[in-house]
Amino acid sequence: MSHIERTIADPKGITRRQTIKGAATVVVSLILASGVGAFAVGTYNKAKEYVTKRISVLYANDSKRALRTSHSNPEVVALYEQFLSPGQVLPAKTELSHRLLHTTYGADAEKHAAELAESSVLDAQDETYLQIEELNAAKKEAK
Amino acid sequence: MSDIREAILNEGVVFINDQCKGCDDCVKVCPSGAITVAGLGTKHVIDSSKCLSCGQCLITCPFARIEEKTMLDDVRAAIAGDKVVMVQVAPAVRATLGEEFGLAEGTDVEGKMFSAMRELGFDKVYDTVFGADLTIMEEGYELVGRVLKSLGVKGYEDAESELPQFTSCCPGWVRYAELNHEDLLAHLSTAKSPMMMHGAIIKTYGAEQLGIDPADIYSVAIMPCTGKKLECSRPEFVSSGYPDVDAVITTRELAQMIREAGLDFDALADNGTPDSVMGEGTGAGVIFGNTGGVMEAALRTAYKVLSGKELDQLEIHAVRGEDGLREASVSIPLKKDLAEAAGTDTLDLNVAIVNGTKNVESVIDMIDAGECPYHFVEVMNCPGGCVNGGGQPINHTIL
Repeated sequence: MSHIERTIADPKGITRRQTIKGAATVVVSLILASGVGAFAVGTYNKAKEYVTKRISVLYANDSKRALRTSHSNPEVVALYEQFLSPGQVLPAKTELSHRLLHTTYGADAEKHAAELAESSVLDAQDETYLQIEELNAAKKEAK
Repeated sequence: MSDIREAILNEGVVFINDQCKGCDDCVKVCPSGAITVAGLGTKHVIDSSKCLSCGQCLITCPFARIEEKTMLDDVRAAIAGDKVVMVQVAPAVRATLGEEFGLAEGTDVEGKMFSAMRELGFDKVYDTVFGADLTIMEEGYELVGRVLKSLGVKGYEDAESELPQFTSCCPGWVRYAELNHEDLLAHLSTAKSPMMMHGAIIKTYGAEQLGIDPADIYSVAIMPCTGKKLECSRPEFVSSGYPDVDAVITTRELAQMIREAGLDFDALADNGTPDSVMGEGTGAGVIFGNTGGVMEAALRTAYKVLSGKELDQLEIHAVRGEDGLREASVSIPLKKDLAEAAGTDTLDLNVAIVNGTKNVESVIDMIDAGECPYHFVEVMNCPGGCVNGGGQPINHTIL
């Protein structure tokens, strides 16, 4: 006897297992459709919401500041003028800024570490003073 | 090298403990496929050779079964000892620290944060926002160099060549590129991250300014990031002649120190500030903690360098938002000498922001196909940026 014939001809043909399974499915569907489903979606959105709130903190902090561009930072300017490129602001140019502020990646990193160990900050400082002297001399000549 | 730095370098920062429930939530957020699953419901293991140490799994685990290696003991010992302990704190920490003490999400606790750091016994307190501004100077000028070189402007022959330039301040992204895209490394800005720049400056310029032997300085960084622990342990970051940064602790670990010291966070003064010489920061450096923030800060400075003028509107809304990949084009009127040298009056600087490391693959596909329209691409590993970093307060709204 096929399934259809059995259920139409004899309602008792539905097994107890099938009844339980069906009832369970209905109950679970109802729960999901009502509270829990909405709760799950709600918490997911909320979980993303906290990131948005944190992001807004930093944008608000920025908008409240008097200084809002990196090149206007007086302590950064002083760092260049007094140390990295004496007398002037020259990012990414001198031996000191190269040594202290730049790096290498991947397989080059090990070699880089060895190079740093073989020289010192003082060497870079001397080199930087020479660079600046040359630069100033060239400027003078151009004038 | 201290034992903990060695261990972090060899094994990574983040590990899953024995009580793992095998629920797979960590697997879904891992950007590098580093979490090995032996079978349904079994305990998970992190493959440290693939792991970026980003900590996204740690802040996601609903059962708190993922842990981080800690340098707290070294920091406590340094504070108790004779060294001059100098500390820097990242922009994103002020956006979240309050959550550890029951304050509402979205509360800026900058003042209390600096007050707390002083109460904890750090001798000098600095703001990594200073390092971020310095990064923009180096990375921004590097970008300008690459772009002008591509336009054939004289005087830029020595600049790096590859375009687009990628940001390099996110250690998760840098490690992802190193592990998966070796041929892309020449595109990464050679500029160090703000933390590593600040560390190198503290032990050189800072030591000089303060009249302290750099050997007597112990340099700590408080970061929203677990990956920064691995970054500071890398052997090449010894440009000052010493480890440029001795130890990194996360926002969570700062909160732990505050609790252990018995400080009443609510009662801390709201007006704490960093020390001078290496403490001042601008709004451009502050937004480094947001996805798109590094780009916005770089554009503000690149615009000034290329046009000679400040942007009329500093907020660049086109780069803000939380989509996984965003793009924008900024039209920059070149100043006279550059316009003549480049043969064009305006430069359209095309940029992209990648929010979540996996999203970088579509940009890499463009590069491989020779069809990448961008000059500059920002990549941050953690969705939302450092404000949602692996070292941040765990926000289990979802449970």
